[in-house]
Amino acid sequence: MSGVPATIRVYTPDRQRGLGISAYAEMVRELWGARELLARFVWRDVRLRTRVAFLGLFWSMLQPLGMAAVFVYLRGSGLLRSTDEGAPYPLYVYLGILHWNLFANMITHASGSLVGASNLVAKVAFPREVLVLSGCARAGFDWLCGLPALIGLFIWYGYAPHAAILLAPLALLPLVLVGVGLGLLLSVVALPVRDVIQALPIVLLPCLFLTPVLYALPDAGAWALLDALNPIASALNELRALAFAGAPHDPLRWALWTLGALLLLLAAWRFFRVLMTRVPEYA
Amino acid sequence: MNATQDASQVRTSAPPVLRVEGLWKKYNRSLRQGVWNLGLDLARGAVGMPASDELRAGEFWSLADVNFELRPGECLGVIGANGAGKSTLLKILSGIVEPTRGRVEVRGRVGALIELGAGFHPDLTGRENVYVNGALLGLSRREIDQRFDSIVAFAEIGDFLDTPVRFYSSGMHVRLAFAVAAHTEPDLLLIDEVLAVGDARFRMRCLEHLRKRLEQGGSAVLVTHHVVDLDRLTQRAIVCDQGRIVYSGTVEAARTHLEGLLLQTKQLSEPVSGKAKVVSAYLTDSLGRLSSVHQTGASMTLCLGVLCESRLESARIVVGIHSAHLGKLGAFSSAVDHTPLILDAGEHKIRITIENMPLLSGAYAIEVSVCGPQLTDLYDHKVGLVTFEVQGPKRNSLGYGINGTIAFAHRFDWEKQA
Repeated sequence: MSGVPATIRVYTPDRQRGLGISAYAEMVRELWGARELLARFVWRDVRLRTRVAFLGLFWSMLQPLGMAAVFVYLRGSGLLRSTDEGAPYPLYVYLGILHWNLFANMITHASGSLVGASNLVAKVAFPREVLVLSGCARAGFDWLCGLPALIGLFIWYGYAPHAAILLAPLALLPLVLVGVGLGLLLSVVALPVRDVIQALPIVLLPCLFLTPVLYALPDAGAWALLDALNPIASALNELRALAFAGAPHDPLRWALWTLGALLLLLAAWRFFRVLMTRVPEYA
Repeated sequence: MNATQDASQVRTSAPPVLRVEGLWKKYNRSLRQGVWNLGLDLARGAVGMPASDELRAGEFWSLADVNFELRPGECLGVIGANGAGKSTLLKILSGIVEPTRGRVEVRGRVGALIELGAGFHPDLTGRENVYVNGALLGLSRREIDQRFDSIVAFAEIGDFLDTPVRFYSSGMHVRLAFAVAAHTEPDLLLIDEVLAVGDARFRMRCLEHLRKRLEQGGSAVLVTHHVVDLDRLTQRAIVCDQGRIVYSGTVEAARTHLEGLLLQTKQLSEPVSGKAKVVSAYLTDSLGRLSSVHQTGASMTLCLGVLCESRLESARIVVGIHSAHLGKLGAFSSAVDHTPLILDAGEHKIRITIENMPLLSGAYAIEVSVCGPQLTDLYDHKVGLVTFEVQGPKRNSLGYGINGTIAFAHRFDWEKQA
């Protein structure tokens, strides 16, 4: 103990106030210190899912495939009209569902993460972002499980994806940033206001139908405006354009959404920290 | 001085590990109102105003003006009734919740054992849980690797290491959880009641572990109902009552103070019928002096004033002694020696003397019933009519002296068997 300058922590009211660089530096530093814990949590989730459910990984693949199959049938039978997809429909719809699921699962797992670990939140001190991020990672794991099927579909349809698909992770940036940001925001609000968790699926479902996931939206009028105001649509549009056409769709819009999503994430993180000093009592 | 009594090597020159200054924390009794106030505070924060630090509707102080310091090697016991604010204090010290007012300064690594095995997952094996829980308590993978064998040895879980903890007995569960926590080697350990679990042998090992940690210069804040555990580790304790520190001193004196507080809450008075009632009561010592503090082994006299409305041919007076923790320790009545108590109408003074006070240090309460000859003739019944303190020889909970509540007159005789 002697010789080593001990870290001093000071707890006072409102110590989490302010939006300065130093506040964020502190947040990043703490989160960095908890990287091993995050890795442990992610590892634990994967471990648990593959251990207790024998078909663990299989379920993660089946869900988007099943849903894609339904929509392929609907479109094939003429019940669903969708045009200008720029690729075979099964490929189009599976790509959409896989990434919509990534977004929806991120928000769902993340917003329930603190409530689901309320015992930890109430009784153990550690950076709680770790719980939210491991919830997001869980969605990422589902996404990974769905990737082989996507590759399989590309091969099946003899549709060679453009080399530009390597930029796909970049295209997904707005989606991931909004997912983490909303996850942080909703998870901490859900502690005192559990309604959030009840409301989430009800809000997500219409969003699915207003986003070009299952079908291409008309490129005019109110639809075009809706498309422009939707960061998830921007990510999906870029992703498909890169995969199918090999060129970006609307890079400026994508860049603006990425910036906007980043700002949302930073604001949500700060809000998360401020509220976190008050809400463990509701855990 | 006994090695076990003052294990901690308090370094008064070193800067405090923990400094608590003017700490206040409020909570709301109503969930809905609390959330509403939280929203208001957020809105205030958004326009740059501090959160409200005054009591609003439904709010109460869970902690009020708490101040203390802890130096390296020191251990502080925190005792109090349920709802006294002990757990709130630990949650603030560990950084889980924010104070409403005041300031807490913590130097060095903090290990908070507010609930053992809070991070354990039933479907993970013991080995896996050690790694997850260790990470949760702030250990790096390398640190856990280094301490792994020692953790497993301490927990004594043997062949169950690779079994999901779902199949552990509750004892094994607790042992493993404590073993992980004990190996975090923090500068300041915050412990909430966790030693109350597990079997006696394991508890002793936990205490021994903590004692060693204190010797090495670690510090601890120990919240407990088990005052017995406390004086194994420290001589310094504070008593919390309704969020305030109402007493600060030695463990023995703090325990007596707490017992006094608990006895106050257990007062009961039920005038059953008006035929006779207790109108006054006080205690005197062997010299007849009014006193509420008595010595183990001395005599104590209870002086009762009993007012009778009419003549009672054979009254019974029953006296009981209560301890705050153990309930009724004993009782005796005037009917035992078959002397019928004949009381005329009017007020009587009755003296009841207890010879050789057989109680050890603590606070006790007296219960008195005034009855008639029949079981159903209960005229007056008062619990906690008078409370008194006993000062006795110092307890030793490690088996090097007297311990417990009752002072047994005893003798050891031995001889070698032929």
